[in-house]
Amino acid sequence: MSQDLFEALSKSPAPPPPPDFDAAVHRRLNDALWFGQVLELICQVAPYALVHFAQAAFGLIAFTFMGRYPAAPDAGADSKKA
Amino acid sequence: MEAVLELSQRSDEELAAEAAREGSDGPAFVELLDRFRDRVWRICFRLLGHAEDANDAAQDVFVRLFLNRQKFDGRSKYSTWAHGVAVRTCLTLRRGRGRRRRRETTPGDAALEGPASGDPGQDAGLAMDLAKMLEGLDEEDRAMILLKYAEDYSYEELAAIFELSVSACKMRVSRARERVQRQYGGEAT
Repeated sequence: MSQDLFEALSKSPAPPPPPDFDAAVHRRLNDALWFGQVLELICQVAPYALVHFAQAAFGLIAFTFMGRYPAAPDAGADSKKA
Repeated sequence: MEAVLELSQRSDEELAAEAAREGSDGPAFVELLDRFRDRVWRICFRLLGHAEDANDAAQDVFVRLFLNRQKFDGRSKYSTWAHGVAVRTCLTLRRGRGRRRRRETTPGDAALEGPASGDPGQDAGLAMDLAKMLEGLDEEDRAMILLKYAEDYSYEELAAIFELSVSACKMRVSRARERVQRQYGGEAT
């Protein structure tokens, strides 16, 4: 009986892939790429943009109330050199 | 036309390198898809035993091949790498779904239906026997048995796919056969 198993295995046919297989692969691939790009947008691009926007907004508020921009880290050294 | 001819004449490894440079599923990846579609499908069908599951798994395999295309470093043949991805994907799916799902597989859905012998009852019975006999094996052993006897893989190919030595593959296949024979060798058809 078990020998019949291995003979049956060697003779058992496998059906061909469905005719729309390639199209389905491309659809799934497009979905995966889209999801990856949205994830990158949310996790990397959006925080980067928000941080830079926040810096600009903070600078604007500081200028509004203090009449000058917040001092740059090396502003003192540059003024001394001048 | 010349570009298409050129692609068809390139080796799998050259196409893989070209696909790694492409930003999307360009001509090189499409050519690889065309070359490996049938083989990957057959691997998934043999290991999962169901056309619908095999379709889902095979699509997943090609998506993984594309998303990980830059990880292929050329140390092995691209076919070995692709088949390895297919096998591991199927094994992961089988483990995730659990034995309960596999026991629910009906004879009509079983992959191991033989050619029509004119006796539907015999074919259905044989399919159930085949599925039952192999279900008791370890997942990798089951996969080796199916690839070895249903797809006629050589031990060298199995060793490359499962990252084992040739002798280890031979031993595992031999032990799996012995286990099946011990469990089912005396049962009548």
